[in-house]
Amino acid sequence: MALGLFGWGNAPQHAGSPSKAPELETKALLEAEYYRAWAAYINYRLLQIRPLTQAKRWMDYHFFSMSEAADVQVGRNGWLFKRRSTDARRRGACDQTRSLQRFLLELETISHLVEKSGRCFVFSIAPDKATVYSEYISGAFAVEGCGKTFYDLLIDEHALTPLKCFVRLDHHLMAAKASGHLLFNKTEAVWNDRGAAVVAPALIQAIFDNGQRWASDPDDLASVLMDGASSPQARPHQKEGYYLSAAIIYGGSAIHRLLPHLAGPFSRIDAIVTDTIPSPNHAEHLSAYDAMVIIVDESELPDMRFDFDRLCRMLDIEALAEAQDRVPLKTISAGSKLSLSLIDQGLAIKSLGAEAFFNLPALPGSDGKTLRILALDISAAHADQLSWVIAGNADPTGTKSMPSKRTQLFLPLPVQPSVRMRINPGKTTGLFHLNSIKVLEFAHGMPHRAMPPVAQTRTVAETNPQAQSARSRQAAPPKNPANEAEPAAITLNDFYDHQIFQRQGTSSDTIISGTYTGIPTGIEARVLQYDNGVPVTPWRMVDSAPANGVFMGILTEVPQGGWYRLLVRFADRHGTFAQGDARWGIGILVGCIGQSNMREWFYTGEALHPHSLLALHRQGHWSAMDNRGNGAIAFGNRLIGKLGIPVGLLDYAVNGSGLRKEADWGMGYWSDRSEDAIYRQFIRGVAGAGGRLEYVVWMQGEADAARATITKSQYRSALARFIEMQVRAEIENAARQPFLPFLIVGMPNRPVGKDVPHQAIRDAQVAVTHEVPETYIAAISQDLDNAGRQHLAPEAYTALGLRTAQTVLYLLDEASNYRGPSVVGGQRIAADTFDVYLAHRGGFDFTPQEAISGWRASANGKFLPISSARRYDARTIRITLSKPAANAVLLYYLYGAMPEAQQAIHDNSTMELPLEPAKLKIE
Amino acid sequence: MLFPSTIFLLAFLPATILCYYTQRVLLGNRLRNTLLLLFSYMFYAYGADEFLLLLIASTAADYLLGRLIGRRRSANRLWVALSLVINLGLLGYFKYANFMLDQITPWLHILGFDPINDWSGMILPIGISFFTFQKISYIVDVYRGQTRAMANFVDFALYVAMFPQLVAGPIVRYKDIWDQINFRTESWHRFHMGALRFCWGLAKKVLIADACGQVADVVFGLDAAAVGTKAAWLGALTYTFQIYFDFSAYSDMAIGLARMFGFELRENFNRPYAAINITDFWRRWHISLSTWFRDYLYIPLGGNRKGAWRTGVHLMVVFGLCGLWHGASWTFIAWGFYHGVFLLAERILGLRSPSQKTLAPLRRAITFMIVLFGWVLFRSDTISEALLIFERMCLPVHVPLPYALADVLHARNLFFISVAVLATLGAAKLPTWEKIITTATPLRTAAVVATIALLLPYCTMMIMAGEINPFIYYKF
Repeated sequence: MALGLFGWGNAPQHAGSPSKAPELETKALLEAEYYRAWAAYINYRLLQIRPLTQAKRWMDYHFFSMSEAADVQVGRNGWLFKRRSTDARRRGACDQTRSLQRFLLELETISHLVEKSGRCFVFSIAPDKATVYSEYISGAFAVEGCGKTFYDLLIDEHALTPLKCFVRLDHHLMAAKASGHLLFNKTEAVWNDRGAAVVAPALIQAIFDNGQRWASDPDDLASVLMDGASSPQARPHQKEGYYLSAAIIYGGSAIHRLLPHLAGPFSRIDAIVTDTIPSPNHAEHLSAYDAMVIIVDESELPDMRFDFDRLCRMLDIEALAEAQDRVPLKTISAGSKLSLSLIDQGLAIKSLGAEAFFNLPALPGSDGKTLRILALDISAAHADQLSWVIAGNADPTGTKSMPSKRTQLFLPLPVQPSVRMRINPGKTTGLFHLNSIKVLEFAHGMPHRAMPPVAQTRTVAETNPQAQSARSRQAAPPKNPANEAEPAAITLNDFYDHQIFQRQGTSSDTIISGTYTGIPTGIEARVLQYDNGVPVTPWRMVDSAPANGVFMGILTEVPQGGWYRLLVRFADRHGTFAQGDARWGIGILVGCIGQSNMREWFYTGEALHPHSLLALHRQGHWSAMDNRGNGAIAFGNRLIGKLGIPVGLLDYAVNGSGLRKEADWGMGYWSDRSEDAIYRQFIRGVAGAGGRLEYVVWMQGEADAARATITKSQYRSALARFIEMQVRAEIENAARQPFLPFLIVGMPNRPVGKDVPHQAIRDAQVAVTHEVPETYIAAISQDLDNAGRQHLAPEAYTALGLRTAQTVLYLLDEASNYRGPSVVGGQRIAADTFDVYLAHRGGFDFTPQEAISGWRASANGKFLPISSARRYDARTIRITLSKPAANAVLLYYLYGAMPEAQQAIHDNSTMELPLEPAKLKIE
Repeated sequence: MLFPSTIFLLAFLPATILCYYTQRVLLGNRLRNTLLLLFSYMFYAYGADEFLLLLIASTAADYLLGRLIGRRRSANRLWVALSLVINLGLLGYFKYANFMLDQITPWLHILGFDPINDWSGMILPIGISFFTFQKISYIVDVYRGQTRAMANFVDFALYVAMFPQLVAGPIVRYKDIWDQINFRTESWHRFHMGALRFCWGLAKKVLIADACGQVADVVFGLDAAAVGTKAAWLGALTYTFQIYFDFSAYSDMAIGLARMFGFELRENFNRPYAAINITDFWRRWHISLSTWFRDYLYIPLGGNRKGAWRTGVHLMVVFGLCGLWHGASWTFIAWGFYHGVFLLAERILGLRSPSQKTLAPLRRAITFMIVLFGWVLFRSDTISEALLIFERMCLPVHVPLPYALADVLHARNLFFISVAVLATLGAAKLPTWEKIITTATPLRTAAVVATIALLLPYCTMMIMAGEINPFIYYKF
């Protein structure tokens, strides 16, 4: 208890911790959750958990040579290892040979392309401490699996077929270790300065011996003397005024110590710690560098991936290719559940989703003389994921993300005589355009690794005459094609129940698809009201030339509303029809992202009943909204009540998520654009819902404020970038505004933490609304109860939902205002008395009359006690200080992390909107 | 609410003590039982708020039935039967319905009936096995005239729900405690002794039981192929120590807590691994349960008064039910019969008298091994898993210790497991903690203070780090 009491008031700051004791409620005494809230509070507030945990871990480490820390393994003599690397040694990676093959193919291809572009490419792996000092890993325990790590497998592969670009570092480290050098400190995961110094020469030698001739530093006279020449030779991309080259280094944390040892020969060296190359979170461009160096931490090797398409676009590999063979589009044949038609601009593909595929003709693979890369120029109406299967290959499948626009995808062809490939253009039903397919050829080829031989030897040229023509529509689908003998029947690819399509204006075009048997002259479709079957649209032809047993077309201008259902039929045989079961609609889609207080919109409170037209999209699935989530229901109900059309809310907020990397508390951060990032999950969710949104609602900032080191400008620039370079770049805007509106809901009161970092985040959010168009503070929440913890009370979420809905209605011209009154000025009345003037928007007066809270006053950096704050008239607040103030006084309203706002000012409009936070100086 | 948790140690217990002794000063103990009852219900609500009303309602039913039995002699059997139906019915429903359904489903299928698909698994109310047995003992004692029915509902409800022993015993007999409910006296000395006993239990649980438990959990969670002879013995031994130190720690804490409020509960353990035969073991292990079965089942069935054959049947019935009491699983039933068989064998072979000290160390070792094998049965999820571990223990199979054990076989756990081993080896000779703290020689007082001063901070840190496992007997 003494330890606990000692910790009072010294609670650590971290996201997700309750900061205020649960309120005493008699009826809650019978609820376990109430006691758990107390337990959480006590764990957080009463105890010095962090120092005590640290003390315990210190004792565990020093007395018992162990640790409960999840990421650390204590070895012999107190040596610490990353648990991940010791686990990797024990588990082995022989089940990852397929990943290794893919990795090697990509690596060699990239090496080839980078060098082809005139740059130097070096790949290396920083061996783990557990590899170099394995004798300090404790315990004689069984090793599971084959006992070889991913790194071991790569080394084995390198021994069989050397990787040209690979620089092996473990030999150097082991030799230095044998000479008595300490290369890793006992308690650090990566090499020390000595270790970095040991491997750096090998890397530099690899870079400079890699077929490039580089200038020596003219200030290094000895070097100039030895070289015997003062002019640089054949240096690529040399620019006037630079003597040394620029390099970019990708890798893990090991590169930090390495940089000082590598930097010498370069005029500029940039380093990016990332597991995806090029980095999704940086705007680097390879054209700025002469050398590309990758030094991956051994334990991170299985997670490393290349963004091959971006790399190829950066290098402009089409221009580098020695030869380009265009694959005639007519040689592409339909596989299953799609139809192909040649058009002027290319090949139109009507795909029914994940099971659809088309076949490419047999293509020549890469070989010892030639590297071949397949380049697809493809357009999609929505973001999707293209996938492929290669017959007879050790690594037969793969996927690529595809944006909702025209793009080029590149695929290295494996080392085999002939490559037969089938491609699924996207997981969702839709129309794609394949503009062109080329095989790019590069000299010098690829080493032949242990790939299964394939008997197919036909090439594009050989295949062409016999190729199945897409125009001929005779491609054999896996299922029975349209056939005279078969009875006419039609099957509809129905939508998901409660699916909402984003409107464009007041209607939306909708893709209709399905399969059929028989020979229809065309397929017609129409939309019915779900409940009573009343037609919403007349019969319209959606596919006038269905083929291959598949139909697809666009039902244009389906009016906004719902719920609807679909009906399709043969144009020439009306008795052959199919009706959909799912209810769906055309309405408004709103993406809801941020951290826990956004998520609580969907989980806190059961006081409201959702409108039947309110739907939820979560984890890629549509569903009806249930009774839970005051904020979401209040928001949706208000919009539906006013507009009368369905509203779909995309719930992709993540608890504890920060905006910047520094605020990653383990749940991810929104600026991260890598494949597994929370932002990508959101984008995939949006893509699954059609790729278009009308609004994005953002309630976030607590995680960044809790870090307490993120400045206003850092958060502001990160949020602006997030809006402009991520959200608006990847989500199609369906709003009437020129840019996708980004609605910020302000951070709530949080007794955790200090005023300055919280105010910095609040100020940054306001600043973003001034500099990024169509960005709004949709609602503020400092005046709402936070229920004693850092989440808001259920009623507060209702208020936030209504306020945000008011902003949306304002943007739709359905409301005249969405903001509460604001402070427009002030005046000193006496030495201790000040008047603050307000401007109203929706109302004309305010409450409360007396004992207004939320104000702070300061002078000369010291806060001054306020004795009273009261209404003077409908536009004036009179503030009286306890003592007269001689100098200028700063007045703040709703300032800091947790302003006292029990008696905050609200106007007398129907929305009772709060007075906006303010700061003014009165002389 | 776990005793070794911050909310219990830093909020619930201090608040209870503060309120209890404040009312003692201000109200002269007039509300002490009401207050303890309220806190006990809050304690229960923390772990199982959805079953709090069940606890209160079943307590009220037994209170009323007890009153009826105490007043109207003519219909007493009916009321006793009704009470048994209610209590055993609730216990059966909540504890055994899932198990029964699992057993009858294949038979329904064989007989051509549709399986029951809309059954959603029952959740076991915490402590139901313990408070049900307490209430039954009350009803039966009143019926037998061994005690009078409780007049005050609060007093009776406190007997059923007193938080130190509510969720994992000891099973307090009404006749042992009824006078304490009304006439106990609190004192500083008693409070001090209770606090020391509680601290000792806390240290046993946090340091020793959980250290053993971490190793046992890994071994019993391994795939069959990864279990070699070494691992099997390691798992069996560590679980043997874990279950003793875990449950006896809980009992220590319960006894200590009760003592802080003026109650004296009976001891629940008496160094069971020093037993020289299985009969002796059951006189030392979970004493409150074994005596409950003796007094309310074995003796009413006829005990050993109806011949050797019937005695054997009685023993097997009692120990089969004792196993079933621990949980709805064939492994528990098998464990009960396993002990029943050895008890019967000792009775037949005349080895049951604990006074026979011949070859005591050897007999102690043999008894320990029998108990150890029993715990393998007890801990395994299935009989076949237990048989596999038996096989690996008896027939040498060399499989290197799996790597998963490396994470738990660290120096700290090894140290505390060694303490457990030494304490068990010296169990017959070492003085008990109770004896140490009640014998106030300067040396012992210093030893107590030093031990507490060393152990408590580390225990506190472990509790705050959230590294504590629930008590094994919580789930029974």
